[in-house]
Amino acid sequence: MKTYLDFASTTPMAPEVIEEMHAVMSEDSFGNPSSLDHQFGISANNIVEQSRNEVANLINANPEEILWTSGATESNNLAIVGFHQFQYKGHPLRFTTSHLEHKSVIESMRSIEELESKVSFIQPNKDGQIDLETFTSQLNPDAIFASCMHINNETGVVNEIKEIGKYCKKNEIIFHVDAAQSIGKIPIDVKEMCIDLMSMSAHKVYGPKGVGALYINKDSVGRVKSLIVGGGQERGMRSGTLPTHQIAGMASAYRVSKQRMHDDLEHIQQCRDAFLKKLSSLNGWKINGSVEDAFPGILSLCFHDLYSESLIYAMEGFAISRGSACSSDHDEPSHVLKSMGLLDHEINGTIRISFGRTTSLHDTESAASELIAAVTHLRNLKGDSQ
Amino acid sequence: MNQRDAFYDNTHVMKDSRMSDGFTVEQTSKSNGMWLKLFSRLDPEGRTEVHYHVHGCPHLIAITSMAIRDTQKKSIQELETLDIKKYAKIIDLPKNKKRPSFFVGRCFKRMYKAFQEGLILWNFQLQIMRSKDLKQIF
Repeated sequence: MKTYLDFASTTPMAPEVIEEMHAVMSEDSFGNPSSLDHQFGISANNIVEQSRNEVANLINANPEEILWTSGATESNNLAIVGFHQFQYKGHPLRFTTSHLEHKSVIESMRSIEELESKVSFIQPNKDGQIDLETFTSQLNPDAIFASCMHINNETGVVNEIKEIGKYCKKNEIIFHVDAAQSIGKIPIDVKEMCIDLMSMSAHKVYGPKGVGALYINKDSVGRVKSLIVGGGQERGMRSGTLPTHQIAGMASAYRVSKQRMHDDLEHIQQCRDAFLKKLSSLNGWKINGSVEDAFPGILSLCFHDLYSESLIYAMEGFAISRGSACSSDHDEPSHVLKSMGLLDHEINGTIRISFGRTTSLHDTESAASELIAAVTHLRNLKGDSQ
Repeated sequence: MNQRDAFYDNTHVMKDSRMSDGFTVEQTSKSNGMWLKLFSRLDPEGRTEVHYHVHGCPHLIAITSMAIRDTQKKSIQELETLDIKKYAKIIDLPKNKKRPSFFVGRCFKRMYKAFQEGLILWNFQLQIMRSKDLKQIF
């Protein structure tokens, strides 16, 4: 059995979450939350609304500002395309985003370009970060919408969301944040950070897969155009029968994360420090992106002289990855690392190791030892002496 | 030998790249940066001795390792019959990842060709030496 070190890809469900979901599935809450003519539906609806409260509570939002989706990818689509469709009156609009974003943001932006709206892409700074200066210096003056992720899923770099949010508010730009990697891991206050739309996921924070949410600021945005039509659920913005047990699981995961956030963060920091300390005896590697402004749970390591696929294969006791799980199926080099200026051989030699709540310090030290052995073996195969 | 064992086997990895009595062939992929270098020579009995350096995916490493293992102490004629595709089958190479197999195959063909050319040259030199010997006799 391999030790799991790919928490940025997904996380195992917390025992509390499984327990809660099981209870919801076992009890008389199987009714359709939209069927309010009988107790089964009312019971399910109560769970959905209670969960909505809990999700809103984590980010300091109002419950009516939370819209259930199937996950962060759908939330990103709905935030960008849904907002665009709602605002589009036949005249092209100007949107902006960064090269660091998840494909679901980039592809959504591409789709609004097909309607002749314009999208400009911001290049990150040398540390792979979108800070306020980077953002403002490249922002198109006509932009009415900006999308920026909170924590980058490949490097762990944390963007300056609060500063950018304030700037956007001052300049009347709608600000969307993809918080798939940050929600439940670091504090988020949508009011303090001046966020208008925010995408959330459950499975990155020990919740179930297949459920997520979109925060929609009721004052600045109000509505987006539904991309899925039919039953008119979620105030007509997202049709489809709500999955009560998954929503309850998401709320439970968020509740646990809120309680444990400080301890989790401290633990992950310790894991990362122990890993890097052990790895310091090895030469010829670097961390991609900022070390200071990064979430400690994600490490992007570059071995420019090696092949990441072989490194991952040689780390046979550990489940690690090349980069984004969503693009790992393709052989295309990471667009994130490319935008940070990494050369092809550096991208080819990059692996991502991500720690989580269930990672032990022993795991991290063993992983570093195995990585050293893997690097040594592969360098020997190349004829490179240590 | 399975893929894992082949991946970790370093018996025939070239320890010292300075090979004065043999030749080196190299195959490089510009698109993905993989490369394979073969260091070869014939022993006094005309049998092959091949070592390698490799950089690339685990499939490339495993196929190279297996093929090199089967290339030791062979005659040049035997070398020609080496079937690289069989190693791809052993490691169950995914259908969309045939590149490492072709890559190793091309490099081994170059090595075989180099052996042949070396043999021709060696025979040619032998003939010259013999003709010189004959001239000295007559």
